[in-house]
Amino acid sequence: MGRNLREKLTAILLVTCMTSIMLVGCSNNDSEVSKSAIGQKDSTSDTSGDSTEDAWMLAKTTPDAPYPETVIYTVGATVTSSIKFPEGSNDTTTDNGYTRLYKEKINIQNTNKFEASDGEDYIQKVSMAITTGDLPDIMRVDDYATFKELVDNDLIEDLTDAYNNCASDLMKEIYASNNNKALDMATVDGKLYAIPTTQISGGPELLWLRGDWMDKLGLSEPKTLDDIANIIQEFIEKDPGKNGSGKTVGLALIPKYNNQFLYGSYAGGYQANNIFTIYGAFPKQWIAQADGSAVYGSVQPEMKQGLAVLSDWYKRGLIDQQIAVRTEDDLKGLIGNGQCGSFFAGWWAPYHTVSSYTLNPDAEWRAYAVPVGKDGKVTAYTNNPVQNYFVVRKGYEHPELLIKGKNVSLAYNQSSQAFSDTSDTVKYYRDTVNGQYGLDPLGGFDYYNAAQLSYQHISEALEGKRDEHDMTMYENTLYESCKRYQEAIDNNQKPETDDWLNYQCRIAGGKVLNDTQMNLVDPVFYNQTETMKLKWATLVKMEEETMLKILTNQENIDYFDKFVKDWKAAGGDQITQEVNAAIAK
Amino acid sequence: MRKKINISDVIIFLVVLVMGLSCLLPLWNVVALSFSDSASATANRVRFLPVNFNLNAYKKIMEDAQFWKSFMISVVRVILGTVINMLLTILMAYPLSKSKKEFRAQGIYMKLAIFAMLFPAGMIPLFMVVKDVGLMDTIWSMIIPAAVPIGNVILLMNFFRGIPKSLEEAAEIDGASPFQVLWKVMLPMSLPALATLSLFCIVGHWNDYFTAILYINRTVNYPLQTYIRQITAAFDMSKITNIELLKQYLQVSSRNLNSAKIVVSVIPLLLIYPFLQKYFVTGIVMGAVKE
Repeated sequence: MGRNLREKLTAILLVTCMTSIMLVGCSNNDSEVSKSAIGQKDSTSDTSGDSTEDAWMLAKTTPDAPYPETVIYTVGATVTSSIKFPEGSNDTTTDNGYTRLYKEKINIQNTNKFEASDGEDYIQKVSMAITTGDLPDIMRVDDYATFKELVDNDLIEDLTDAYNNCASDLMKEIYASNNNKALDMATVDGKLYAIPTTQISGGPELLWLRGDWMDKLGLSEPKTLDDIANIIQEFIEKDPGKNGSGKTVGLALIPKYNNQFLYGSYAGGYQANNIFTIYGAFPKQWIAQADGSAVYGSVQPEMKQGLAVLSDWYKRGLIDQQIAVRTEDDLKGLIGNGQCGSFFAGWWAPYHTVSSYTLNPDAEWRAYAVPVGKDGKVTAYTNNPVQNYFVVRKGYEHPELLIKGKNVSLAYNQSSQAFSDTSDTVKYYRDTVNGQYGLDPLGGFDYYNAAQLSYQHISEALEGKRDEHDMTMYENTLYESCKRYQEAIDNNQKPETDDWLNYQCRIAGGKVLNDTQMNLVDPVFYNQTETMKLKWATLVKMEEETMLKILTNQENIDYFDKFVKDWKAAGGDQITQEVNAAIAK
Repeated sequence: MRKKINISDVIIFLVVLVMGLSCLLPLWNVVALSFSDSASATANRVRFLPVNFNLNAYKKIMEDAQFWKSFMISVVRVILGTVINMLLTILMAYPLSKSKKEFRAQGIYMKLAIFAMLFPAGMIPLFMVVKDVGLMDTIWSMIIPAAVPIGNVILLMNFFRGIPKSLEEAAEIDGASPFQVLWKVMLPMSLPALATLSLFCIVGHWNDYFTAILYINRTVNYPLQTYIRQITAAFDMSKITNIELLKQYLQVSSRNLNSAKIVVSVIPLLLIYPFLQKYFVTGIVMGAVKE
């Protein structure tokens, strides 16, 4: 008897144990890291002798003078998932094409305090470093809240002087391409605390349509919302892709999936932003009103108009009926399989349509900046000017090193210097690095209008109006690829997939982006307020659920008014006040 | 005597079949994806048979040095980790299986262990300890912090208690030392339990990716599952505004290649199961007593 009980107990324990292992496995994923910062300064090491003092001084105060001795800095590095070093080289994560260029130009060498792949993993590492007070000399911080926390706790260096002394003209020019907005965001109380990575303007999302289907059905270019609806309807009803009746889906939109929603991103994919902006609604953006006060775009009455269009389209079957359960892979699959011929996405959309081309060479995609308003222009909101912040640990003795290093990266990536400089290191950099593997310990950033610039440079070179080396290293590779594409077309051959891709993105998509007249609206606030920390996630959830319900006709359009009321009561009003207070400061 | 098949047997069979298929089919789909060409995989054309059969993905893996490096790290980790886990589990479970009369402090140790299991220190204190004792970035950081799985200790302890006392006494009368009793009497009788627990350890070590994200600072030192996770992790599309990211995105979105990596990473575990199977058939509880 007793033994029997024991056996049962063992069995129960076994089950409990397995369950708890599973639970632990799950909870690990979203376990939160408290970000209480503990200051812990490393004592600075001694500076070197006085004979070379002038050289040190020069290095410290000018953009490009090298350090007299190699300066070692530690860095929190982002590395790409599968690093492929150039064949036959002995490169490592701290000795490679990138690091040798920095070493040759300004005599600095990194050791990596930690490495992680971009995104969640890197953020985890950074918050661990902050929590334990063990910061690398230089690291990247991905969001404003963390950056602000570092400033408030006096953990990072003031870079104002270093920037004034050492920023190259090119760096200043790039920041100026977006009116120095990025610098403003990294400035707290008049002091610059980070070298921000600029955001490239992706422009508005473009409507990508299957051109071969349009030709088959004799459809003309869309301009208005009605034109778009008409084209999608024809795609579905007349089935030009021969999928069988009912198999062709309408406009592809992404539902709540992996931080994405059907609106609110910058040049994102499967978005519906354009359908809102045409009515003057700017979902998920803080927009200034006529009186100067800021309001949250998603709860403005204009939203209702865009939402009415979407829910009507859904009712008519013009929007993918299974929208609520789609993932990005699903949508890519539908497009690749030729079941979907319409979606909104940034200029990079060919990366998602490429499999449709591989599987069916007739597939042709065209991009349109639509719908346009009465003035013939498409309306869009602009990006958060900052992607991330590079900061220097408080107490590091060469804070200017970050800026000098960035100067080098910019010089060789955002100007034609990679072609004019003939040193071996640069040649190696050009041949192997050139964006091929991501181990850049510092990295650079790009012009605000980089996508337009690259279209201009490449197309001019293709027409013979520009020297092929009078552009950046990366543009040059794109140019070569586009040239191969054109040659293949001229010789009636099928272009390589890569060349097809580059041409579609840079020339086809880039042209629309470059030529489109836009009404641009600048959001006025990108940061986080106190109440947001507590309530924002709930509000966002509320918003997204409401929108999806209305879109899929589960709720009437007037449900929107109730949502606005609830949203305001649940903290929205308070947050709006805080945002306005923050802007006024 | 043959039992008649009744309705409940059919229902049980169907339920088990559905559960079995729901485990097997996704895996089979991954296998099919790994043998398909990239475009078909992206276009969702692959169900349970490869489309445009090819071995390109596997060829690429063969060339991927980091994959094999991580693979070896995982193998070493599993061997080291399992041996240490099992050794410590046995050494702890046996004394604890004694009654309070034989081992007076038994209750205190037990309570301490259970307390630590129910209220773990949490990620940050653990991280700081690992860092301060210098385990960061070594394989030991993935082994030592979890060297004594208390759950396993309790399982094994209860199993030991289920073994008839008379066997132990017989050995003692023959002059066996406590160690000899453990190695020569208790363990051979506990093979089903040991096999089960070893499997827990092996699977746990092989599948764990999170520890390495915390404690390993060099991506070249990642074990296999961490390496695989970072190539298959979902990509935030709204962040794609620069060229580097796009390239990265293209790499990670190659579904057939990622599938192939998953398949290769599953194989070692599949190979281990048949060897341990014979112990499971008798089951952890069933094999305990023969009197």
